[in-house]
Amino acid sequence: MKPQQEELEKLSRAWAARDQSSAHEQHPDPEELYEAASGNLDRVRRLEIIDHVAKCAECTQAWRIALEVGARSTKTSVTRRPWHFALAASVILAVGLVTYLVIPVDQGTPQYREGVDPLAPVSAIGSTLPRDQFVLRWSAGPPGTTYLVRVGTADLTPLLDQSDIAATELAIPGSVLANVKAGDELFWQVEARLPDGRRVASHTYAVRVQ
Amino acid sequence: MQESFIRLMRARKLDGASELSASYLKKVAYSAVIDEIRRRRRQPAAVSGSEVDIEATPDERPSTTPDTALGNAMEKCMQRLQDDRRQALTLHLLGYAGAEVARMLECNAKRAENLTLRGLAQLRECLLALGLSP
Repeated sequence: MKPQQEELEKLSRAWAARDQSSAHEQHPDPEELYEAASGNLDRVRRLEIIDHVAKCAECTQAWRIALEVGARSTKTSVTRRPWHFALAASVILAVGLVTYLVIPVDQGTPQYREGVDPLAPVSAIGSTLPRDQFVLRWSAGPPGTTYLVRVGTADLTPLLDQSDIAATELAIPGSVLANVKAGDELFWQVEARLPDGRRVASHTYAVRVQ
Repeated sequence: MQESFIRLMRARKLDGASELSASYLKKVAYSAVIDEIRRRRRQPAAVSGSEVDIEATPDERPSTTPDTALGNAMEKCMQRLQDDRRQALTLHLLGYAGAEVARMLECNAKRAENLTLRGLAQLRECLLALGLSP
């Protein structure tokens, strides 16, 4: 290996290994980071993000992940086909694995997760529901709140997307579960539409069909 | 990860019959994962009930390594560079080749190369002044 190459490799490795950041401004939105890594953002914003990355170890890592998942080759748009979902799912799994295996987790004092609005609905059901009484329940928002519920399978098939629900529960009809086998896991999420017009989404929950 | 699935489902539905590009799907998945990484960095996830989350892993954060020390020093030195040199060098360190740096900075390849090389030279000098060398 040439000395220059060797030096660059060492510098790149060290650059990726740094753990201090001198950035004080807010991190760029992940979509913007991805677009910047793809070279698709307007020049001014792209340079702002590069400047941020230069002083932010966390965003350097996020940028590298964007490159790993193919941010460089975003120019071609192809017709929607099932394999796109397989591709996207594989990206999720690959990057999820990175999260699981590589990203260190601060094991300090346990706290509840940040970034979730206190008014966000919270699941009020267990991890399993009987098929014939498949009723999703969640915590109530302020009076006048309506809810939107999304239910889907693990292979990205949407099963239900129902809005304008005034109650804090929703019985899923048997017909919706017709193709779901016993033991299959479904994912669901509730979005509260608050009286002031704000929308607050819950975490995504899993529930197994008995 | 489950958040990614839900976002993809939503994207799939919203786009209806229109074309949905692979890059768009990747971006949706990427955004959800980076959001999750940021949340996990801020604090450990509290898993309760049936909520889906990536399981917490033991803290395997290594103590400061020579690479980390060098990387932290590099960051300080990079902040002293002129903007265009710092930007070119940042892209170079992220793995962009000369032509890609030029495209990202919207300049010609020669200028991109000059900026990168001058940035590297200044970086070396700064690191040497701090008693470090690559």
